Amino acid sequence: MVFNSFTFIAFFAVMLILHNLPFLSWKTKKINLLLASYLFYAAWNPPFILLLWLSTVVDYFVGRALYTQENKYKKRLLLVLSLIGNLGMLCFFKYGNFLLENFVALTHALGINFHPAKPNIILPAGISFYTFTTLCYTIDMYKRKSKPVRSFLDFALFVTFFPHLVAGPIVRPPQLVPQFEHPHKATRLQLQQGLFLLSLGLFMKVAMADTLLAGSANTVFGYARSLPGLDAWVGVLAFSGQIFFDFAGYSTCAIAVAMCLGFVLPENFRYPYAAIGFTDFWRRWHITLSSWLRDYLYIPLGGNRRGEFRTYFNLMMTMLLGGLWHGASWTFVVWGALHGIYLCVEKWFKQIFGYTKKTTSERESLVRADLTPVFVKNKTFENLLLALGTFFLINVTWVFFRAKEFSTAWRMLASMFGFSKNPTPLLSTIDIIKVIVVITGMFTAHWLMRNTSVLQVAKKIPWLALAFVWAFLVISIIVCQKSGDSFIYFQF
Amino acid sequence: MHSNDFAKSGIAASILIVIFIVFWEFFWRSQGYLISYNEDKVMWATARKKIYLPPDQSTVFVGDSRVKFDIDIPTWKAMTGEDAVQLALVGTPPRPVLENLANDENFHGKVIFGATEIALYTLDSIRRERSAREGLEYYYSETPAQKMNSSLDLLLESKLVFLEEGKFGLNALLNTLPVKNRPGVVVAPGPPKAFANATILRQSYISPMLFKDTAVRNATIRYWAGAGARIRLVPLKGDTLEIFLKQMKYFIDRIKSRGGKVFIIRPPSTGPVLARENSMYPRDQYWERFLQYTGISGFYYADYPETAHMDCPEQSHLTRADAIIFTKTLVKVLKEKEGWTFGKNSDSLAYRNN
Repeated sequence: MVFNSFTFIAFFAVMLILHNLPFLSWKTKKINLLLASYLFYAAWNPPFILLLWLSTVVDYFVGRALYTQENKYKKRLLLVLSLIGNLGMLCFFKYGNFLLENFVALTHALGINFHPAKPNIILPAGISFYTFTTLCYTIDMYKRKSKPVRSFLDFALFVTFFPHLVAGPIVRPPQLVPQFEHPHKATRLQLQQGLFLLSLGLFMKVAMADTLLAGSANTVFGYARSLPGLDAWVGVLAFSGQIFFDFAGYSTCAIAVAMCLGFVLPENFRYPYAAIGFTDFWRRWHITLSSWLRDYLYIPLGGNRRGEFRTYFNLMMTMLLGGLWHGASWTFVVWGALHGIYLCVEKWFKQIFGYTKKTTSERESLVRADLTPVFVKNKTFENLLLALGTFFLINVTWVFFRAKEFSTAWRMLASMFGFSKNPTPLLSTIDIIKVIVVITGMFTAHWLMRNTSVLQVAKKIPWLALAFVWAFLVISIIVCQKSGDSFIYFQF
Repeated sequence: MHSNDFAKSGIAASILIVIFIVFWEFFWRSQGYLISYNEDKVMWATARKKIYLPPDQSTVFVGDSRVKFDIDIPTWKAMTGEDAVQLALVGTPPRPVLENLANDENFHGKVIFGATEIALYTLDSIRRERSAREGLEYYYSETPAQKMNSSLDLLLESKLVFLEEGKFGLNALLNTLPVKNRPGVVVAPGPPKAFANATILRQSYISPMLFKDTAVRNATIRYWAGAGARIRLVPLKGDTLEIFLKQMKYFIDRIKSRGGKVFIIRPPSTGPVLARENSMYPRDQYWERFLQYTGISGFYYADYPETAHMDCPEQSHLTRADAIIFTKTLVKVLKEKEGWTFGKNSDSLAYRNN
């Protein structure tokens, strides 16, 4: 079931009513939520619910055993079992075809004529997300970072809770389990804010991603010939906006839906295109994944505690695996590698050139000391240029993320940087205008909102202005009329 | 902001939204638009599910827009007592759908497909066959949630005019803005949105607006006249035609080998559209050759006095009244000349219809 569908609206309305019935016990409400979550998931492909059950049951019992087991070797064995179970399932469903293809390519390179039958493996929706959710639980139990979940019902609901199940935010047990231990019901304000955020999330997905940007991105990346720089850049910018609005839209909907039921999910996006540098970008983009990779991969690898070379190596490994997490293709690995290189170079720059922050008075005295216009000397202008530079380099990485093959990526890059031969214009003027207007608006909004949040801004503006904004969001969804299109991150 | 302020915003927003919906619906209705369904992959997939009805309860229609306009489904149902499973797609060659039916071992039914030359005579063309491929892909991957959603979608579309995305969606509206494109950019806007409507059974019919407004009629004529140029079509000849015919014969033979029946129809066209089709695809070199090569029978509109002189208001599709006559003639030919038998009640229904 997708948030942007009439089915979900009906489903959600029923859930809201059931969750607010005064005569139902908290346990009954939790059972309702669990059953509804299974229904939500089964609406894609019912058989895959078995995988979810398997993952839930195994990790619940292994998690408890990990926490209580005193024998070091048995404890390690249990952890290995859990990792094999979770990652094995992920590897089979997500990387099965990819591994086989690469194995076949290797055998051919060695001169062996090996042609296995192509397996027909369907990727279960959200497997990467719920695998990471359950993995962090068993690892936490192994390290005894938190206590095991006492109730199986709470654990099953933590893994399966429908707002985050299919595309995150990736939640950790301490963020959600305690909320299931005591009755939770949305306050009137939470419900209203939740509905506002749901409207915003759907607007981002339906109006921005699917209606105004997806067409140009698909046209450009699906074109088999050289393009003029304008078309190539517009296509990449369109995808840059599409992926943000699609995924951040989903996260906003997930947070909103949970909020309407009285639960709080972690923030997943914080105006990422206003990032100044790549460390900042990863603190703003898919925050729950980047913090997961930091805590469960980068730090266990040694983080920055084992010398300079090892720090760079750990960074690269984390980003390469982060790239591979997104999809079973070498183009995703290159996308991760580019981000790894950006982060390494940024770290190196900071080490070489130092990063001493000047105090405000120092800056002011410098500004007053010469005749350079104030806005140029202003830190804000400098930061804006850095943010634009970061945005530019991130757009280059999106080429590899979106291109299905390297040939498409190289053709796109050649077109973007003026190396294409005999380019033919592709996009209509109206498509170009749509993309430029939306991307300019998006970047401006990110820049202006980088240190605040939607709800904080909503609180400050007059109620009538908010009403017009709210109505605009919903009317845009109605006029766009795109319902039921899948979210891009479901495939990851 | 306090809860009360947020509530006030929510209530005011709801009022604005309701006002907008009422305005938007009445605005389009006041322009003359009627209820019409989205011609999308969801509706196509819904129709595709019906091909497994027993062979004496349904006939599958494949082809391009002429099959959608010129076969009147209520007339077909009344005369044959059978359902018409309409799988034709606007501007799309019948090849991919025929291939799909041929390869589906569970399909044993009757197929009638359209022979608009510009659509039919093409080998694997990614661009032109896209709608069919999208429909098939959706059919095979449709989730239970999507099935539920399509039922709700159809329910709303049956009540609200503005929910036809192809005409009133934001992109459709933006694409009608008079903005000049760069030289070399080829865009293919659809025909004017006042041109036609579609029923829930995927039958299309020319909108009354086309008859009332000559500007709409002329714009539609210009659209069809430009279609050939946009497609940049080169008729199949020599070896490529031979490959095409071989392919089609293979599909037809597969369907027939399972007890199925296949029949081809050539619906009318008029004016410059007909002249272009006749000059690009002479009847003896294409229609006759097709029948001879594949061994199937066909219905060519010009061979029957009832349909020979029909007029297409925009040169490519029949009016609804003519579609009824065309369908009656077709059923008569199928029964009397081809010996097709239809569902149990067909005769009595046909009698009642006449």
